[in-house]
Amino acid sequence: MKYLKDGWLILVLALVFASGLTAVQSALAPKIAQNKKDKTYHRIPMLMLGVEEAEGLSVEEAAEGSPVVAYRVSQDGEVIGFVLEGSGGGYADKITTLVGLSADGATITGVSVVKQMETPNLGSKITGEWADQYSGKTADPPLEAVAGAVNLGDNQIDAITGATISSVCLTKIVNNTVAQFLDAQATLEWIADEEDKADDLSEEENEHAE
Amino acid sequence: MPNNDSGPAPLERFLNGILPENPVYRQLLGLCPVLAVTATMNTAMTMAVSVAFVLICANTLTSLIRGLLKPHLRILVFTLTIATFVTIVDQVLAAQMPDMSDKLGPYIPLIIVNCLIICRCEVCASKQSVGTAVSDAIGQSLGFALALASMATVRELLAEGSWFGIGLFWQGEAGGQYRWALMGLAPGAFFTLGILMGVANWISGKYGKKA
Repeated sequence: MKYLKDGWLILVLALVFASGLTAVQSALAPKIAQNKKDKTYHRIPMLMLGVEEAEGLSVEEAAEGSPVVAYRVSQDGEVIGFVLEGSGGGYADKITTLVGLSADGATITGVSVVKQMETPNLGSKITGEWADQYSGKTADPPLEAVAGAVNLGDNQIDAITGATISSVCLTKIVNNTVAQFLDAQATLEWIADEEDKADDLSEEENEHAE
Repeated sequence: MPNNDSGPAPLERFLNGILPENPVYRQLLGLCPVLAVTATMNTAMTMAVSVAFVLICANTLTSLIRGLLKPHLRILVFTLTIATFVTIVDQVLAAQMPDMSDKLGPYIPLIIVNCLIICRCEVCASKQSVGTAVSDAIGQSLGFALALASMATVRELLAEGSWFGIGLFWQGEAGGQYRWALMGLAPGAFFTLGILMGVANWISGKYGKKA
């Protein structure tokens, strides 16, 4: 009884706060999930075609519970490639990235880092123009990041000066993501998104440009 | 808990928060966000607004229930209250400003353990009336915002040559290549904090009332 006499205020507050938070959470959860999805979707045209905006794109998602997170992208009904999500250790913290892969799985069409905590101004360059060099590289043999190379081969990436480790880590993540996807590809089930994402894509790009 | 309203008046509480008892430069409280999110003005000001919201709400609520607080359970009540409002801020940021939410990362949830807020609940809100608690919260929030703004201004100007992400003239002359990376990193935060704290103490030693 003594505990109840002392602690009733905390119990009451906890109940009130918990119900308040439940209300906030259920009101905002769809928006938060949508934001996360949009972040992937609005990068798809860039990853697949190297343009900010494209007409007639549609996206199917690998079914939940699949071994990989992947999206199948079609343009005017024809599959043009895949966008894969992968992550792994970086220099400072986990790096999460999206990788664009051509329909035959042979060529990387783009790499775009979603989340990273690398050193600002050095390792953080992996989010910038530097990553453009991934597009057009062959997926097999695996890519390799090299420091200070003069002539780059088809599977070589020029590492960032001062951030060789970040470059090597990202390249490894790209290789692993592609390899895991190719292994699992035959077993994947593709599920179309309920909403018509093609329209949304262009709208978001406009908002993004503002 | 003593329930009589004895302590500085609302106006004094408000003014004290801005410089004489500035949370960062005079009380040295809440230094984690001060060091961590002041690399740019945008993140610093988002943090300042979040802290202000949490502090004002927590102070108001604590002051309202101050008559019911048990001395040995008060910190638990403070933390519960603060955690609730911080979670609300975290969710709202994730929904409305997803990019900013990503940049601030763990530092928003860490407001829960920001000792500035627990300190104000303890020192002011749990002892004084709602009016005093609110003006105290506003004063302290302004002081905190000023401290974050001064840190972020110095650091962003020196590290990126920009303010609120807008490039200034010397960045243009350097072809967008102006960088003093160190100021954007942790050592830059410590240097700036030390120097600004010295300046703030020098000013209050010169113009403040002599003890």
